[in-house]
Amino acid sequence: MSLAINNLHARTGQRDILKGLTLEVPSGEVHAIMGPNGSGKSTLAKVLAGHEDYEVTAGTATLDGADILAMEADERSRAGLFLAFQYPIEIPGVSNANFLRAALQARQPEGVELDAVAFYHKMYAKMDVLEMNRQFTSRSVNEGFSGGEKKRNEILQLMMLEPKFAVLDETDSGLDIDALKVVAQGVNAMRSPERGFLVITHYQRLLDYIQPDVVHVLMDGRIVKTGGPDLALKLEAQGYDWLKEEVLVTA
Amino acid sequence: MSASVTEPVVDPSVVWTEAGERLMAAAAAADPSALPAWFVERQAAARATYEQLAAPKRKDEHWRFSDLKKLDVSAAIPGSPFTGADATAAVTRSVGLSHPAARIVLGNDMLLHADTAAADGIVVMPLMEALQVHGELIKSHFMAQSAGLGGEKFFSLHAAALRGGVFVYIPPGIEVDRPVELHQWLGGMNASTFPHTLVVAGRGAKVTVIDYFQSLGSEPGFACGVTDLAAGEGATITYVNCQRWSRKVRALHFVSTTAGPNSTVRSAFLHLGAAWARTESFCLASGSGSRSEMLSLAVAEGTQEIDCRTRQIHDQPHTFSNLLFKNVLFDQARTIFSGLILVEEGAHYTDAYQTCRNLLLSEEAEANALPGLEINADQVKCSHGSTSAPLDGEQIYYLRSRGIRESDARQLLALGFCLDVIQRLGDPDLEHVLSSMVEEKFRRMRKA
Ligand SMILES: Nc1ncnc2c1ncn2[C@@H]1O[C@H](COP(=O)(O)OP(=O)(O)O)[C@@H](O)[C@H]1O
Ligand SMILES: [Mg+2]
Repeated sequence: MSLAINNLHARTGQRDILKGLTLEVPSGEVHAIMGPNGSGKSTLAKVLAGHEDYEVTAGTATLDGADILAMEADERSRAGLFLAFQYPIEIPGVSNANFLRAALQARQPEGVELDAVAFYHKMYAKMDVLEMNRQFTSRSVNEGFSGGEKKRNEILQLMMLEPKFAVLDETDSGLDIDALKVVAQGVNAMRSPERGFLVITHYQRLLDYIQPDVVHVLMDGRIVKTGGPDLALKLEAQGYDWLKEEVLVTA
Repeated sequence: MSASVTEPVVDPSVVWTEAGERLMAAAAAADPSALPAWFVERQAAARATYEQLAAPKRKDEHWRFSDLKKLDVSAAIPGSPFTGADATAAVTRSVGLSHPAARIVLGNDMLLHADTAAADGIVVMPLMEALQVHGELIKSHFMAQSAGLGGEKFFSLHAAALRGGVFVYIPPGIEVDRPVELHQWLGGMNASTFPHTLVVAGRGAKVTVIDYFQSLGSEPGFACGVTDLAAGEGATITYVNCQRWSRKVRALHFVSTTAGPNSTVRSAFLHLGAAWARTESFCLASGSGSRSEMLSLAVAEGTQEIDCRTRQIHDQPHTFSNLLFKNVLFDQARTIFSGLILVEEGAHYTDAYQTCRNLLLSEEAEANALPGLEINADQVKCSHGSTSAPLDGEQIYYLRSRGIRESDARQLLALGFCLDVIQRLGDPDLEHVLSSMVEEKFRRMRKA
């Protein structure tokens, strides 16, 4: 069981962003992706989640063997893929509770209504873990939320939808240290042998709280190096320049 | 003489003359001794005005974009009293909020049911009855001003054909914490109704009135109604009108609001039904410190046409008005919004806002907006604007990325667009009732 990405090429408009990206996250593992700004991290996340801005020109991506690139965005989610967005958008008029309910209802068999009482119990329990005020259930999705509140809300969705694989795109950015701990606690509570994570981050800091099994470095649309947690520490201390040179030498 | 056979050309003015005669006859036949003299005179004058005024033409400024062919009244007849099963059905189907302060049910303008036991110290009664007891009070507010928005002929028709309606009076200082609910039904082939709601709130009084307009069946019909809201000093009136006529009904409605000093008046229209519906809303901020809010939400599908004309008039300093009209358009639906903010000379420190937002869910739908502003005073804060746009692609994507199917995502967002208006009423129970009506329409449309 794994999320397997092989030789993925993707572009937007005339511009190639992913240029042969290969990576496999087995269930039960947490992989981190680090890389400089503009290297294609969010693009990878959105390509996996079926965003229409991007066109896949070559390569494959499978979730437990199923070709996710052939699926519509909503099918991918129901197949067990989740993306916590770097920039979650606001949806005026749609309450958080109705939104989550619709997402869970979409996973019910045809004609079976979601158990509303059980839904609220579950939602409140998850919100407690994330130290979210109950008023967030009736507020419009992300509308007027602070950066940190939006990120918590993404993790709430993750906890409610219980995907097989979750991609977290810079969930740490915009969080102060206390919020980061709370969010990490939510993610760690979700770790299980049946679930894999791909944690995209710009800073090593997050990885102190969500410890990865494997660290990948993404530069210019490719994975240029893969290692253990110590690789993140080295990047934190030395930046990416040494890697750029290494890549140039091997290229 | 020409031998060729051509379609008979129906002159609209002839149609209106004949329809008017039929529709006004029923009211004219009422026993004048049971009504105050001023009212009888008023009806006679209205009849004359009706006959005098020309039928509107599309070229008229106030009828721009309006598809007058849809306002076909050639077959309209006066509504007959509801009897037997129809009367029972109307009463049992008159369900709104639980525990209203009062509930009145009318069928083709005639009283079917009145439950006013909980309405302590307030007046909620059929207008014709009220004319006999509260005639003087009614006289000073009854159709006191014409909106001047193009529908004067029909405004007169209403006055002349009126034989039903409801009078709500809240004496000074009384705050009614539960809403007053009025259910005005239309039934029968080509039947017509002239719903009339007059709400008068005395100094410091407070009331919420919910008016439900519904058809018993799916027959064609004609409705021509008036709502007058008069808020005394420091009074608060919230008026909600749920227009759910059958899809073959042609409807006109005139709303006029007079907001006294430091009063707050909120009116909201929910347009879900009718083949063609036009609302002319007029609000006069006539007292310093008054606040008035005009809200409207239309969900139009098929070939429905919803036409809203508004005028916010400020003629005293330190007044506030805010208007938000939203339309959701499916299929070949059409909507028209034409609004004017008029700040009269001397109405300094006016705050007046006007927004029309259209959600276009079909490329064949057509939303017309004519916002307007005329300022003749100083130190004024005014703005107006209108937008027309389809659903936001990023919002659809966000919902889909959580597994929600595209059609569900669209519906959720469209509903969200609507809820924004409903939530401004600030009453969760009311919000629930109104949003269920919108949801029900969406559900029905999806099944079709
Ligand atoms: N929708 C888009 N349209 C145009 N350019 C884009 C788009 N998405 C990403 N890019 C460009 O692709 C590159 C990679 O972006 P991104 O994947 O967001 O990087 P990262 O998340 O690693 O910072 C950047 O140069 C960015 O400007
Ligand atoms: Mg990014």
